[in-house]
Amino acid sequence: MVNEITRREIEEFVYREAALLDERKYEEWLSLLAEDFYYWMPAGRADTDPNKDLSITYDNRNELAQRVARLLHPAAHCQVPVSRTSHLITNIRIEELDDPCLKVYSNFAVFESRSGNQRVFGGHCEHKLRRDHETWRINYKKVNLVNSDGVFNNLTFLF
Amino acid sequence: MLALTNGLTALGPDELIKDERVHRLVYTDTAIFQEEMRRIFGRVWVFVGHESQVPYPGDYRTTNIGGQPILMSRDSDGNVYVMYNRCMHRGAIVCREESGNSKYFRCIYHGWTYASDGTLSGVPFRNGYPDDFDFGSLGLMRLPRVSIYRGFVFASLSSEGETLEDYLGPVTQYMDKIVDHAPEGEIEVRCGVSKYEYFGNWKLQAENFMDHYHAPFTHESIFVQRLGSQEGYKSWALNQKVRDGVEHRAFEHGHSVMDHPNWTRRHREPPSEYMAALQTGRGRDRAAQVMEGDIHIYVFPNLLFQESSQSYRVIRPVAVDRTEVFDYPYRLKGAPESYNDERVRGVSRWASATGTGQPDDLEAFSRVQEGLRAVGPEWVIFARGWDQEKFGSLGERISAKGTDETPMRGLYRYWKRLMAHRGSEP
Repeated sequence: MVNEITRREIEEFVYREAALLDERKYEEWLSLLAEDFYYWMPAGRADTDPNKDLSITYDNRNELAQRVARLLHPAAHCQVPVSRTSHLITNIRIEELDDPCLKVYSNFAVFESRSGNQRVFGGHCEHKLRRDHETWRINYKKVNLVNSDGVFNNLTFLF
Repeated sequence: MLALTNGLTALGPDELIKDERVHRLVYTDTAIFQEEMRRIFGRVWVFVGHESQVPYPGDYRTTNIGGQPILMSRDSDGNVYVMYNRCMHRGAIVCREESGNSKYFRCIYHGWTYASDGTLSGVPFRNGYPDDFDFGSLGLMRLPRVSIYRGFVFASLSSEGETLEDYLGPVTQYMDKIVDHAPEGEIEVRCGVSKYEYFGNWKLQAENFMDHYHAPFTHESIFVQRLGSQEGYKSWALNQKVRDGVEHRAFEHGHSVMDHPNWTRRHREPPSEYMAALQTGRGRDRAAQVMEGDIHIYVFPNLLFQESSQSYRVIRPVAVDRTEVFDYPYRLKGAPESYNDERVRGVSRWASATGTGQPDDLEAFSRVQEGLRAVGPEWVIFARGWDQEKFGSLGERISAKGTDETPMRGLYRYWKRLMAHRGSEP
């Protein structure tokens, strides 16, 4: 069982990550990511192999940096106007791995409003974190939408 | 005779489709949409799925044709059957899952059971029916015509019409090119699917896929990134030679092909391991042939191929202003694992709902659908290259320039024929 201080730190970290995504502060968000970071949103069942099966998103850190840069371009029509989001993170459970790593399991809901339409998405999230001095870095973030096998319109904001 | 009303006027296909423009009602009228489901999706050869999606006896997939529930399955006799996913008792769908494997289909309502080829194999309390009741005709109803080309399963809801090969015509040679990228001459569709939807008419996706005019504008943001700078993008985007260096052919039955003839594998050398396998498997000449150029194919009404992406898309109309598209990457049998892996991931990168390309197209589609609510401006214009088309040796129309709208005019020529049809068939 992880101690109270670490638990508080992890929660603050995950909430701060969510806030950066809501505020579209992508540069700052990228600075939270480890060099070998990957971001994975499986399509269909969660046990697909992201190297062999199609995922909704499967990016390494470089690819993610390119992705967010392109979303900020004024002619990225899928984000004109931008999606306004609110990430809710809850049900946080922490699993200690070999120091300095741990896993964070959480449930999430994202409210998104764009062009007068509001949508809600939800699912389960898995972060692997590694302590880096006073803070944490994200090794990977896996986002399992409850409707990962669904049909989606524009999903170009970040979960 | 097709008669439609938009309140006051009735317009038939002759009034809706002109040589170089199309009436907005074709995209917005719910009565026309219902007629399309009947006269187009209910009549011609419609793509259902790929054989490799049901490789083993008992494998099945569900889909729809014009909104009607369809079941494709592989029986123990080795054949693929395409049937209505509909219990012959009281009409419930017998299968809810997208895909799976089962020795039988059992309706959850009253337990009627069917084999993989649709044969009725079980009726609980059968003695409740009259002694002479004809159960023999109550297997899952098979679609009247099913035909397979290079593993692509097509079906028709109509019992009459030309063969699949006649319907596809010269498009078969382009489909051959697609499949012959596989050293073993077969593709495998088993690596997931990107499912997206947009709030627009189904024909917008078909038009867009064969459109070489839109890319610099719709996809500006990703091309600026790829080309490194806004200036780099501009010199490419406004380079008419690049835009026009593509050839369109519009065939009978609404199909079309867009080819980048000078585009050798996107200017990259294919990996030597793959080329060696391809040369061994297909022969050196054929290997060289398939590696030349890069094609998009539209197989009317619902199938789109993108050669260099190693994927195909299926258009699924839901409503006049709502469409689903399922994009299937596939693996080439006999190609190195890593070659296939890279291609699968590329499909996700461009064409998933989070993709770097497709979502911008979807934004365009929803803007078109919204704009077409305006009744005053009646016409959608497809005049690019209209007066410049040449006829090819197979009777196809060939564009003069890459930004010409030859494929769209071809789609609507066939659309008009189908919607004006006065035969006894629906």
